[in-house]
Amino acid sequence: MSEPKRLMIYPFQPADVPFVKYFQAFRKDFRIAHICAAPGTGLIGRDYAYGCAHEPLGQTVEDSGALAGSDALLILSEGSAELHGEICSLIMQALSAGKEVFCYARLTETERDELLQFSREKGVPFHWEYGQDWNRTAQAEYRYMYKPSAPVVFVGGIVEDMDQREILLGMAAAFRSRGLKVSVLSQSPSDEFLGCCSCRDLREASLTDGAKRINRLFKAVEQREFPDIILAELPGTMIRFNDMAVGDFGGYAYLFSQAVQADYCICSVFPDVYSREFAESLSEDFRQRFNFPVDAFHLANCLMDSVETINRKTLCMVRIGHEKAAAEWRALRKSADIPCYDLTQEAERERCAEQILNTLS
Amino acid sequence: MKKDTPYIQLFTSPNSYYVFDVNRNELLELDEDSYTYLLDLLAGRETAEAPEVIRSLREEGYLSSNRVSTVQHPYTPYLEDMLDRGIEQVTLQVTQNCNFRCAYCGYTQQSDAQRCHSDKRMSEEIARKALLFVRDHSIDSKEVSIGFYGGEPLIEFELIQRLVAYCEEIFRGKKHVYSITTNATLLTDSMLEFMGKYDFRLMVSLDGPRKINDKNRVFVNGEGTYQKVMERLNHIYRNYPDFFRRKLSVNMVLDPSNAFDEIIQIFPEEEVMREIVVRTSVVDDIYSSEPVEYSNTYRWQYQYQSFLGLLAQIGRYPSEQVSPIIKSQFELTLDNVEKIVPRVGLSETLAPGGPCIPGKLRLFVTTDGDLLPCERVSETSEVLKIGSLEKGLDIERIKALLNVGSLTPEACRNCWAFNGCSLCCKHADKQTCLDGAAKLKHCEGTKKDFAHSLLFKIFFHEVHTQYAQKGGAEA
Repeated sequence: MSEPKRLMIYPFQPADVPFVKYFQAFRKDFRIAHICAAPGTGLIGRDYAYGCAHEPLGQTVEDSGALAGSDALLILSEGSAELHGEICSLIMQALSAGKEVFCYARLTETERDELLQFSREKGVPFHWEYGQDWNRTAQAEYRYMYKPSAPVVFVGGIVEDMDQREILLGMAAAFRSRGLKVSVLSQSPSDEFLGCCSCRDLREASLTDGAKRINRLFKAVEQREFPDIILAELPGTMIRFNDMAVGDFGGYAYLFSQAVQADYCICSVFPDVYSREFAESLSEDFRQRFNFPVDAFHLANCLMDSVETINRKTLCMVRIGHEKAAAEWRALRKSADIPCYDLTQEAERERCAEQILNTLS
Repeated sequence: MKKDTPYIQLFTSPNSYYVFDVNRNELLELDEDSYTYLLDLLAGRETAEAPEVIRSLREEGYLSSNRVSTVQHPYTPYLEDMLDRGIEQVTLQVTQNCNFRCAYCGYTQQSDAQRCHSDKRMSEEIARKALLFVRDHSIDSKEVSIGFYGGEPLIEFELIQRLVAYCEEIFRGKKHVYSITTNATLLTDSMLEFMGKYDFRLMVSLDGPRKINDKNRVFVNGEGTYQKVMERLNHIYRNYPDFFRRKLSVNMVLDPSNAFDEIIQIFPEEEVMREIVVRTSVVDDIYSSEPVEYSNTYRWQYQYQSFLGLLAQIGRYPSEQVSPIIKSQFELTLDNVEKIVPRVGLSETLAPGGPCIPGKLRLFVTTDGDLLPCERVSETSEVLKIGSLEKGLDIERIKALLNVGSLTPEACRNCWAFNGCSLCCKHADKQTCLDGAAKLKHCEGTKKDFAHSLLFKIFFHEVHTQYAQKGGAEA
């Protein structure tokens, strides 16, 4: 087997920690040689796991000048608006240097055409299309609501960006290591590089259209991949958090619940709010609203900044050092009736996978 | 308050009776009998059998006597992480120099409790260090705000330009916004164009019409500043209308020794003031040797204008005739009212509502690179210094400032305004130590403010029930 190609990824942000952490579980033909971030993230020079306040994972984040030591460039997302020009410029540089480019940032048609033209001139592949499965659902013929044959596991959270991607990719890797075929529906377009499907543009669909299209997506994925299990990340928040910081009311999670019946649900919560009573009450609320309960919780190493949440009227979270969090909240997890895990840890993911498979069988 | 008495506060309006349940952070309407019962209970008088309403409330978990056991901020164990990752705003004191000598300014008054005006300026090296510090400690913040302050920051505009260029480099990839508080007298077109390019938020200080403004806000030579400031505001209004509309606000410091009606005369007199966002605060006397005095004319004129504002809120008075000052203050009060969110109960360990996390929300960096909780505290106070750029943040000091409530635990845990307290370390500052007695002197003020918010809530509740019909309820 040939050496994996060296990949430079940019612009790395804290939300991309799981992408790097589980990369090798999904792609053997590449290895992430350089994790590159914009200076404003504050991550350059730090271990990449610092982005989620996790223990170091042994790779340092660099600035965007590491192209020379790579065979290919992967643009993870558009990052912030001011990075757009830089991203296009980096792509041109990579193509000029004969490096294959995979781009998951939004590009205008003009930019796309120019870069495609340039890549043809250089004879270097430029991959920019993503979300093709999702895009096709817009034209797909609606005949009836499809019922997946494979069990469906939803991964959601009461707050956005609270380890949902970590749980999704981590559990997918755990199931794969048991020899299961796993289909993954992610909210991060760059996860398509790992073989997942993404439906990032769901928020641009209307309500009824959205539910139908999600259903078509499940159908398309299952009929192509014949998975043993399907993992799907729910976008947004699963609940209206409170009167001050409403999130998105759980609307998109509801769409998913109408599109497909879940067989298992993992919900990420933060320990401030977690208690046995809370867990039971949330599970019952999910049962009423989504027609499925919470089957397992993941406790994220996050703390709600309540002062800022009230001031800004939007949920503001801060990450707490993982080791400290895990030690403090161990007691919380032991007292739970509904299983409560720390799914950033391999042993916990294995236990959770076992529990899921037992429940589904 | 006896330990087993309900942890509540009672209110009345001309129309009804109310109880504020501290544990549940909720305001409930009562009938007269229930109100009287609770009044007697709180006063330690003998009470008749509890009315049905009271019994029902107790069954639903209201009227509990539960109080906080330990007055400590729940974030205390996590401060290090929160300050390591969650800093959101930095204000750079680019200069201690100013071309004004405002009478009420702490820097003018030459008191031991605050620094004086001086020629000190922030070096570019210190400024860059401060910006890098914030960049490296804001990983979890979705946005970072960079403010420039003084003295009069525009004295160091060239430095500000260089720092903005530096920020564009080091904050690239992170949402960041700029702001500046200025007296506007040094504002030039090139400065305005620069600020427009980088989308600055601009706050201009002006206290009222000429007579009022020039009483306190004067140039170094003693001359009034009103004409120059107004000329600048009009210039921005005419020539940079988009910037004016989106990014400009005026900060009015209200001197209550003046007649309130005189202060608000600026609005009918000056068109530009009718178009601008106004923020107000009363002169801060916390570091002054002389407390601020409220004249009778200020008091009753303010109350009358507030009354008109309330009528406007319920459509009984033209809104356009309400002073923008009143509107601005109503907005603030309504915001505070919205923050009174019901909860399940008080935790065993909790702190009164007041303090922010020092250093996280509004980190202030002095010209020397010292770190303070915000720009409103004494710069000479040893106890309020939370670190330096050289040594970093002093977590133990910050814990002490955050837990200013633990200076007066018994007073705090029995105070009905526990949830709405707005006191912070500044109120306990005695330069070399934090003093509980000093803090307690401000309690009445904060209780009054919280009561005001609750009465507002009552008013808006009653508007629909008591004043719904034209003509309203009889007085």
